[in-house]
Amino acid sequence: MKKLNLKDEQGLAGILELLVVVLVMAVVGFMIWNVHEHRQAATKTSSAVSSEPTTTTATSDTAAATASLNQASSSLDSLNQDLSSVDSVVSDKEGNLSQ
Amino acid sequence: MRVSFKRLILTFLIVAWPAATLAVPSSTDTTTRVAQVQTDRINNLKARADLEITRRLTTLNKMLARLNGTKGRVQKLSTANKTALVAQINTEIAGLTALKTKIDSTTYASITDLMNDVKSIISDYRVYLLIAKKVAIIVAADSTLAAADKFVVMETALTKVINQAKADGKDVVDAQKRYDEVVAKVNDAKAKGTSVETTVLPLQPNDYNENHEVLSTPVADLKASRADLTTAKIDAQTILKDLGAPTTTTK
Repeated sequence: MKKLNLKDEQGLAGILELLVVVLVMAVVGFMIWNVHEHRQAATKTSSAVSSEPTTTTATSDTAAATASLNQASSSLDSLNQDLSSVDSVVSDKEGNLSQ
Repeated sequence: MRVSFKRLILTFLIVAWPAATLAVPSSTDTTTRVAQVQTDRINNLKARADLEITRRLTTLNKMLARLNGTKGRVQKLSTANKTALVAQINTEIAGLTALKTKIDSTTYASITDLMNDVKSIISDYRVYLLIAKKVAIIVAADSTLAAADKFVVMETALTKVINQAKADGKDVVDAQKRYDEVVAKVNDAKAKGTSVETTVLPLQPNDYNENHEVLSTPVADLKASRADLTTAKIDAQTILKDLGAPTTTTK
């Protein structure tokens, strides 16, 4: 094996080439990692944005429907009482004055 | 024997004459007694008429107080219906008050004339068979319309739930079928409630005199409206139960 000699022009050029390669690889690696991180973050945000409001909307829709059903049901109870009042109007109070 | 016959005739005259006098009243006495009987009967009828008119005025004034008050079921009445009913009741009160004055102050020539006025307490006013029932029916009709409005609000909310469930991929065929029934039943209840108000509000005592069943159909319609809304309520409960609240949660 040939011993590395910094005074040797060929040896210096070889070391510089190696450093350049390592540097390029490091930059490329960093860029790939960075893009990946950004994508992951974007996916998480997107998923949070898409799932959270949907659930909230669905829950509030059901709650609103239940609340309005309760109100409708209550008004139906009230109607039942009013109809009982109609039946309870005593018609025989009219009396008979023909005698 | 001749003496005995004379005594017999004398005895007869002594005993029978006063009796005969008592038994056969004079024509003057008869007239007086007939007049007295008629006067008594007129007074009794007038007293009874006063009692019946007072009873009706008390009922009408109570209804009026309820309509003009701030409590009770009548508060559900729409302003237009309340105004119409108050006007009708005031007309009845004015009429009965005038009739009472007439009956009390008139010297009736015959029982028949008085009887006609007394009978009009019932036939011209129909306080219990028509007016009291009418107020209760209009209150119930307004109540039907108010309930139908609440159901319409519920329909909108149910639509959102069904649409969301559909978007989530759930089977909404049955829910949609029930929803369609809810809409149909609520519309029917609303139409019936409106029809009852239109029919009943203008009714007058004479309408009842001509047809004693004049209130039967409106009451039946109100009961059918109640059945409609009850079905709508059950359908809505089933829709919400079947589609339910979402089980997925964030985080």
